[in-house]
Amino acid sequence: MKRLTNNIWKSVKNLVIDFVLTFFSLLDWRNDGFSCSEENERKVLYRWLLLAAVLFGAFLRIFIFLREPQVGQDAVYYLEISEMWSRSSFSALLENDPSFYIPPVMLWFIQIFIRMGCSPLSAGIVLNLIFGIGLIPLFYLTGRYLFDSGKAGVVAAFLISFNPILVDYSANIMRENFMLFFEAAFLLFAVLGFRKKNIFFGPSGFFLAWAVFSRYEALEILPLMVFSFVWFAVMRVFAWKKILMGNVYFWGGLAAGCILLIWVFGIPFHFFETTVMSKIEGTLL
Amino acid sequence: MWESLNKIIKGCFEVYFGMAIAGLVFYTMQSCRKNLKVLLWVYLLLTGMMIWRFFIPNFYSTRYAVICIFPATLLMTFMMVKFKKWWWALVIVMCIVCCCKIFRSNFKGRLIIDAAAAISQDAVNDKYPLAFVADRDFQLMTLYSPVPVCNFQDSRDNTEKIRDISRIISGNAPYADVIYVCCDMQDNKELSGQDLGLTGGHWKLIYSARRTRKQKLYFQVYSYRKVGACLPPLMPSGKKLILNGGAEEICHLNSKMLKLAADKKITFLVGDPPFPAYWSMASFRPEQKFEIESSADNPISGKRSFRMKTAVHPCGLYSCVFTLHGRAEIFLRMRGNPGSAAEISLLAYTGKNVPPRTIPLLPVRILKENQVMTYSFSFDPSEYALKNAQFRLLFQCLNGEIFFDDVIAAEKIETADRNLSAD
Repeated sequence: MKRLTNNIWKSVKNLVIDFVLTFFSLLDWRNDGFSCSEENERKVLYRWLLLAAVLFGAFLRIFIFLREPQVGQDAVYYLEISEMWSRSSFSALLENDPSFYIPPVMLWFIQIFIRMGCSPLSAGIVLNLIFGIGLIPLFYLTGRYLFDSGKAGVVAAFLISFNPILVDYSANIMRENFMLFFEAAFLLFAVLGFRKKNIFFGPSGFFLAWAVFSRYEALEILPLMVFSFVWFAVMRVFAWKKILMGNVYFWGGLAAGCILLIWVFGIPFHFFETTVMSKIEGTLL
Repeated sequence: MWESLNKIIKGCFEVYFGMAIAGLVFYTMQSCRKNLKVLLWVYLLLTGMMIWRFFIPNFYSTRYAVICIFPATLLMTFMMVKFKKWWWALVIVMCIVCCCKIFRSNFKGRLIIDAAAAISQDAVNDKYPLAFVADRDFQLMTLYSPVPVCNFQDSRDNTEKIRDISRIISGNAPYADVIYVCCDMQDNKELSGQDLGLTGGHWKLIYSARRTRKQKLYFQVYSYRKVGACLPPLMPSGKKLILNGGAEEICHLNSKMLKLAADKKITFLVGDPPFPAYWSMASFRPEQKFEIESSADNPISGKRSFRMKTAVHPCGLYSCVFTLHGRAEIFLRMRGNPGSAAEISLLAYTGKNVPPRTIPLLPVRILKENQVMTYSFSFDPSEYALKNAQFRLLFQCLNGEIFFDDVIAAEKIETADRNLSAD
């Protein structure tokens, strides 16, 4: 039994090390495949352009917030729940009144900031700005690895940075920002999983769990992901072994993410039988 | 379906959607020979994303379509990077288009913040200001306003609006130094004190701004400031309609109620507290943590007062049912812990199987200090076209702990005119 535990622990450790090393090697700009000095210059240019996209994105979001600082109606409700959560716990709130349940990722982040001394309003605004701006580098990486081109990454980053809908959302207190950020993280790792190593499907599933606990609409990705795996396997776009291992990592990551979040948020399990399922049905059907 | 499609287009920005379609056509042309399997996969994936949005019944917000920005962006990226020399020009054009949209749009405005600031500035020297805000802005105003906020239904019909605002002013003026009323007016028309029948006090427009650039609807804030101090409301005389309004008579819950409370794990009721006779509880949920009793602990008057306490979910008490043939005066005293919220309404039952009509007497009131406040309301059933209706009062504790006592409803008015507009 002890040997088995040790073996499992070693495998997990190797997987994590392998994942971290591969991921950081991908982030390293020297691995862009450029060789001559002209391409090196282009590489530096893309780096500056990404920085410009992030700065422009941040400027637009902060500008819009300063021009129109009024938050939406829903935000008041989110802030109230977060404030109550910061004084007690989410499970205590749910036991008092089950109707308080909404996917709690944003509320969890806000209540952490409130506990650190921020006002609920400023916590909500700052977090939404951070997650809204965080979407830009994630899309840079997605574009870069999906199309195998730094140029595509820059284009994707600029398009996300300037999208008026996203700019407006980021300058507000909305759960969409969190869902989009984690869905972008899911997408990035799914692309890396298909393009590079299977192990990236693990974090892909993990971030999808975060997205699902941000807003239920993220659940639509599950059937699309199942369909994609089946399609690629049947059409032999990828080898069976890759698809099989990808599935193991993806569902493993998703399950780990869900269990971790349920534990962190303190959602009672009996809750899923009634309230959560009825809300999911209400959203999707 | 077209409505859903419209929301999807708006949800990912119209220009992006158009460019994404162009990107999809471009991708199809590029991949139909080289990589048909992946092309089909892309099409099926996009169809899957669209199809549930077309058919779900509650797809009422563009927010459900926001994820469509991702495939739209990737398709646009695919198309743009294929332009080897001019890709940067396309990106710049797109950024300029987006900036035009961002800087021209009026997504949220800052109406409520500015209105709250105007109220705050106006009420700087007042001890008991009170603001009434239409339901649609109530939540936001509670976030930004420094003064206690109550809600009311802002009617679009001007006659109804004037009647509602007059009732708000006359019902609440004794208990506030200044009352603010926030409402919408078409074409920036200003309501005057004469329209409302206010002959005394100062009625003033303190803030007005357009809802959005496109609408001609204006959001206005009025203040009503009393001249001099008002007399406390007088006890109404006439035919008394409410039994046990002082909570002095107590009873105990019957075995059926106790069993129900035990089944629903409502521990306070299981303890069989002294309950006010002739009063009944509003419906309650399982495991709801509330306390309702006829409490002898520090009563407002007499030996007992009604006490209601709740942590999160509202709890309520109904009075006995009564009928009305003419105008009624309602009087009560209330106190509560600071931060507690109370609401008082009159329910009108017009027939069997007809849901009761709720007439708000005291919209949500958040108590600032633990001191006894006296409230009086007048109600005329003919104003609401309620003939042969039966009535009962509903007291709700929305949060915290409140005590109330001396609940009197009398049908005949013999006291001096307490029309507050005359002060």
